[in-house]
Amino acid sequence: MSALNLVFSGAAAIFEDPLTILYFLIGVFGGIVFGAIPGLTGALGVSLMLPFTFAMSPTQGITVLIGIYVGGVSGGLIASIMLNIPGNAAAIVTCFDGAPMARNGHPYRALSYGATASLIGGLFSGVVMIFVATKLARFGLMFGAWEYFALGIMGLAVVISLCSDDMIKGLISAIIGMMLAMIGMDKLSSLERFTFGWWRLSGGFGEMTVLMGLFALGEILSQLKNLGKPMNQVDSDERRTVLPRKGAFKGLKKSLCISSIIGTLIGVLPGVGQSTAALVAYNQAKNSSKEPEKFGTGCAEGIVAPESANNAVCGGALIPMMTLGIPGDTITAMLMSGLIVHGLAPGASLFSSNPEVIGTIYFAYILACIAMYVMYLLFLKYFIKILSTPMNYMMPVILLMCLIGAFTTNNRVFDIWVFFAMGVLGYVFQQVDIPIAPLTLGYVLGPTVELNFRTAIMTFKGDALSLFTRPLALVLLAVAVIMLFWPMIKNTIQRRKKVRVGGDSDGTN
Amino acid sequence: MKRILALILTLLMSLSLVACGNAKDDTSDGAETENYPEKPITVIVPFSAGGEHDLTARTIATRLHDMFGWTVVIQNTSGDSAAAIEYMKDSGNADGYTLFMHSPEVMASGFVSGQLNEDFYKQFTYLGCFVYDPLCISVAADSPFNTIEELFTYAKEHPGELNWAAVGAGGFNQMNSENLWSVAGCEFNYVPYDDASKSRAAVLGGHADVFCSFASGAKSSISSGELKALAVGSSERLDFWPEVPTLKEIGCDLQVGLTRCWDIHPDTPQEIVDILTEKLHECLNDADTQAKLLEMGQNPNWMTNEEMHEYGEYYYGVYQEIYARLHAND
Repeated sequence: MSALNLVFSGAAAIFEDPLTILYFLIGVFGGIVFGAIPGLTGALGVSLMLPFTFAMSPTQGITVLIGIYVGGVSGGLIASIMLNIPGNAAAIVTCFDGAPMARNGHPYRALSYGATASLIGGLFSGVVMIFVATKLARFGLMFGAWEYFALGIMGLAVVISLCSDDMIKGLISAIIGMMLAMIGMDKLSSLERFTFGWWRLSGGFGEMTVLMGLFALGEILSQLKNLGKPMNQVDSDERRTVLPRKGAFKGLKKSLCISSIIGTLIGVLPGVGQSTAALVAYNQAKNSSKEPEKFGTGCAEGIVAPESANNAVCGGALIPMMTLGIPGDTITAMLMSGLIVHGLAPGASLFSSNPEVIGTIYFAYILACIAMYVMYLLFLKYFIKILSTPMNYMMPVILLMCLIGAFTTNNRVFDIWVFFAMGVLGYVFQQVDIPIAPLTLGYVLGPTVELNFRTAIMTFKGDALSLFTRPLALVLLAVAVIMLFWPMIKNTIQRRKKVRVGGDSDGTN
Repeated sequence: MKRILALILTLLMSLSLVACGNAKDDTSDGAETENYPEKPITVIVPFSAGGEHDLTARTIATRLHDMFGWTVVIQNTSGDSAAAIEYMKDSGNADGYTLFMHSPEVMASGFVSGQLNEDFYKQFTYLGCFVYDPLCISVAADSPFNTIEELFTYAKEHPGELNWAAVGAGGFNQMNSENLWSVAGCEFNYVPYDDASKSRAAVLGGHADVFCSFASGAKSSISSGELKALAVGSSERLDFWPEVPTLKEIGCDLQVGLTRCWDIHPDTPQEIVDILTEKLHECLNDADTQAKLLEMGQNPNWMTNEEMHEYGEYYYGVYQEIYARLHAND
């Protein structure tokens, strides 16, 4: 069956039963709400919903889960922009420029950029998924341990350009991130590391607890000192809708395309994730921009790049899940189990035995992106109204939600204490001006680099030089080296240009 | 003033939540066993939602609800099974409403390799095993090896050349693999991954030669023709793979696999243990339950508490021997 026929058969399966549509819309809406509330994530939404889908038909189950997935990833941007508190890990980068733009009096404009970029990134990866899924999955399989290692190094090199103003502080942050990720059971040898014999530490620090603690609780603590002060939120937006005005995306098209491609490719590679994709896309946009100094002050490109990338990851992550049965992240792993329970184990055989299930996934994904955007159009003003509640009511509620989120990931009370500790660390970082974004990269990519290096060495029986037999890995490392020296290269080029301009003017005088 | 009030409120709210989490059911003494169960039963699954343990547990929970009207709640605590076992020892969990999902052979291997510091595999009461997921050895579809004999013969002639992809180093899977190699008289290069989907991707992508997993984890790739199953570790051929030989058939006298079972605090009243065991057995014998398990590639297989203890004890001996051999040069 051709790709388009698959999509049509999926559409037919979904529209056959009005109940499916209803479940689906509730899923997308619930996903956005879970994504928007700091502490509650799409992953939590999917894991809560998963047992219920066992009793539904496979079509209903998979559409509602995909709805939550897409809504949950995108919903994070609301809190990031309006509160400067990321709604989920995927939206951490959106705070960098989204919150300043909202604070400068353009919350609607910021949300419009974010939501539209989410839509475009999501649709882009959806189209890629429908037409070249199998080829991309093969591309993903070319990645062996050395390639993942090189990819991790490349991601870590982003730290350098991310904090080119104060390199030492950036490195401190990245290294603390890597160290935090090492605590607990080593994933290969199952031996405990840095637990000091205390069994509570052997579970390690989860991603949700660490990242939300640092960003959300850190921000809540910093905002505490403004509690009770009258808010002078300027709101000078002429348009009160997320629909972008004509020409809003002029000059942003290149950034949108590149970020969507980055997001999709990172999505195809299991275990790298949305937050990394968003950071890499942001960094790429900043490096190729003519005015990189505008990043961080509320520029449109700084919102568009991460938001299109993190939503593009969704479609990308579905590719290996469907074609090979290899989940790209925790949520796709749960989507997969939602299918396995119905005896529909994802993989190449599903394409021949139950093509309508594949078609349903395709169509549900595209529909979810569109439904998400429509919901932003319809409900955003209410979201904003809720979020403009005075901070002294808002903060305790957000804190409570974060605590629930920290607890429910693993049902461990200890994780709540970890969350508090991370919040204090995040606050200290803010006070001494250490950027937290490098910590995220170190935390997410440190284990990728370490585990894959070990696996690579063992695969090649102790021969570290085998790295040089892997062209793809070498290309990635070369890119990392260029990124490492990019700030220096750029400075030199600019100086040369200045000299030349200066020389020219000298000549005319 | 407002600021202080807000701060206090925040703290109070967070403290109350922590208190809720710690609150334990202290009414376990003299529990009425006649009307068991009077409230929902919680099963703590020390793996993430959507994993194979989790799916099996949820299937059984759903069937228990359909057949007997019981409410069985699955609670996932991923990240660390050692911590989950420590928690399980808490005497508050002896009321018969808190169940766990641990396999005796995995706990035995953890005790041998030093991951666990007590012989937990002896300490708990097993409510019977419902799935035996046998070891499965498979290779990529384009691999030159078509039978397990060809693979082992090549490995005998070229020791340590072929990459054997499995999950985790030093623990359960590596000891199982080393044991198999020593029985078969050959040697591979053991390459650990942190996740079964990653080791499978490595074999599909040609980065490793042999995919060592459990049958359920390989089933979808085998039915799609991307992997070729060479052998399974069960004592008899599996219903869904009648053409795949067992290790016993090729002369390796081994039964290797993973039991999926529920266990309970040893101080739980015997009446409750009996009720749970009986109903679980009845549930597993039901045709619908079996069909559901088979659909997911899980091989239904009943084992009693005594058999589980014997199984754990037997594997404890096996692992000790392997461990001593592996660390002979340390």
